[in-house]
Amino acid sequence: MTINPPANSICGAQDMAAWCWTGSGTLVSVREAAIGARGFLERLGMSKDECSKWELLLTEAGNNAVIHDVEGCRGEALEVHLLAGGHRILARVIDHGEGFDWPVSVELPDPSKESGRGLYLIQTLSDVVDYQRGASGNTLIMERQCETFPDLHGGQASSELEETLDEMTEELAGCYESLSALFRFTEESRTDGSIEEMGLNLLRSLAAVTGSDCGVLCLLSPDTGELKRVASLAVPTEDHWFSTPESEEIERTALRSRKDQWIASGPDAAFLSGANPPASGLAHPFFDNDEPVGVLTLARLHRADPLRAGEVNVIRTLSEFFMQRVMSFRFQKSLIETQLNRRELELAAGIQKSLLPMSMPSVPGFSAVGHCESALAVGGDFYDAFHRENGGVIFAIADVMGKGVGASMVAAITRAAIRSAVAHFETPAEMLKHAGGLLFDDLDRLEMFVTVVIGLVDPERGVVEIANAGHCPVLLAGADGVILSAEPLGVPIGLEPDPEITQSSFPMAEGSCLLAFTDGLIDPRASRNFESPEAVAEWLKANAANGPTAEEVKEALLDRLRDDSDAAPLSDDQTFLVIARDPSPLEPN
Amino acid sequence: MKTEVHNTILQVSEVQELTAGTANELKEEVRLRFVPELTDIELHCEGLEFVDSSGLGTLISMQKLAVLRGGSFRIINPSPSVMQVLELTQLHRIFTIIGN
Repeated sequence: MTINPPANSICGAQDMAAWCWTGSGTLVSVREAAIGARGFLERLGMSKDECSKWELLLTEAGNNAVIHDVEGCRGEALEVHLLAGGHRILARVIDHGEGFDWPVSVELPDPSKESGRGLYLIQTLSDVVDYQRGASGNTLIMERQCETFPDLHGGQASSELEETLDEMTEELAGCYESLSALFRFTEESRTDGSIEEMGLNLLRSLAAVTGSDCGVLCLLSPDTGELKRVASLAVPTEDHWFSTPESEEIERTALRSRKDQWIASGPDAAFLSGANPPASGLAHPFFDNDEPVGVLTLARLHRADPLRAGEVNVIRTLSEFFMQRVMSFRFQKSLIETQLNRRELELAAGIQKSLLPMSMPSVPGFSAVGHCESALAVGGDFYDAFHRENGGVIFAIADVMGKGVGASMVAAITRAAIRSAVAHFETPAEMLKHAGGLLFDDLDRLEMFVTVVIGLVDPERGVVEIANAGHCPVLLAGADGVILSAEPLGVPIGLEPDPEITQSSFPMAEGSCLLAFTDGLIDPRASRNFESPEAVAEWLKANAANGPTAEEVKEALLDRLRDDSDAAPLSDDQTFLVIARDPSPLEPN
Repeated sequence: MKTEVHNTILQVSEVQELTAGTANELKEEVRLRFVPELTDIELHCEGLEFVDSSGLGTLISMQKLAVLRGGSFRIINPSPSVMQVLELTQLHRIFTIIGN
């Protein structure tokens, strides 16, 4: 409802009377307005005392507007609106000047001071005062109950009339309150660095507008779904209603029911108990689309009158704005996390790549090749192959439990430990046992473990010796089609300080082919993978029969793994190593 | 505004209102007419119907002027509405008020 009559006019609605004045913002015209208002009230038959009080109220209000207009907008319109109905009179004084901050408490100055009594008079003479400083104007709202207001309508429907006036007052006041509170809150929230700061700011703004003593703001944690307090205003640490289960119950009920929960004392709210229960208040839930985000609770400890509709509107509007800011904060945070993750993946991929040999050792009559394809989440797979000083070729393949930079670092120390062990020990079992002992303390502390295979190919003797600590079986396909498998005979390293390692020894005849791989090839999460190590063995038997080179086996294996074009991206690293012994040149192939 | 001198007293009367718009002018006028021979100021309030917070400031300044001369400031016959403002701001405790 808006009232917009011509300037300086009286409008008589059916159940109330209104008077409006618009003039320039000077001290002289302020008096003119106050005298005009007095005349209006006199014509309504108000008592002389009531008229004098309003004359003083409006003079003080107008003077304040003019005196605080340091920007020099004097002459710009000053508006005075009066509404009278039922037993109440309401005035709004609107100016477009600088405005001022209404003090937290208005007190009388020292008797010898010549100024500083205006606000005190306004506060004392009004039953309700509200000052809103805003971008488009400052509004001072004053309201008084009056005993002698004559019944304009022969005693009819006076309660109805009062109701209408109530609604109108609220609507008018709420509108201005919302606008200026929103303006101030948005201004201040620009500099807030965190959701907590912003939440406290919200509570402060709303407590000021609604006359609440204290408040609590809770948000649902997006991770755990629990209701967590992010800000509280003037809530004593203990022995207070806000720390009782009841206050939490009201918050939860608000979220569950998706409705504002009114806190009220008196017979309607016998459920309120606990230490220092509030006299009135509201728990307001807020939602992002349909998703619950949080609850805001405001309470008046000493005022039993419920929040007015205008005040509830401000609470809803500012909560909505706050919720939008929270969502945008969270979005930004997740964006940063994604970027960090990507950076970590890049780092981990770099480390992993640096662990692989630049080239495979070359041995006449043998071919060797490795492959390591990283999953999106980089892991700790690696393989290694190099000539041993006192003859033979060492190969190793390992899989570190875990992913990311941590797994890559563990892969790096594992590789170093293996290389060191190779220089000091004769057999793969001894090497692996030594490396496992070296790494145990670190892995134990990190609660990680590594599955490792170390193999030694002796081209002179045509033998391969394999030690396997918890890793996938290493397969050897003979030219005769027989598959030998070096099973994981020991536990992964990192689980025992002094692991028991045994080794397998297989002949590596001409035309045979060795395949070592990580469990990325048999990971059930990717449909193109093998179902089991046995399926890998079947595949190797079929594809290594004709004495192919290591490179040929690798290509065939990659073809097999990629033949499902719809397959999901890799969920684990796929790493394998192929060593093939050339077939006998005498055998026709 | 009208002023008269009786012995050492400056009598101020015929003031219709004491407000932010008129207070400074009145204050200056009283200061000028409160010549050194005078020690007391009396404000006769017949016809004074309205005083705002700036007007109260003027009253306080008149009181200070008189006290500085070793004299006194008296408010004579204030109307009920003027009296009400004085009471609301508790200034009735510091002013000498005569009549009514």
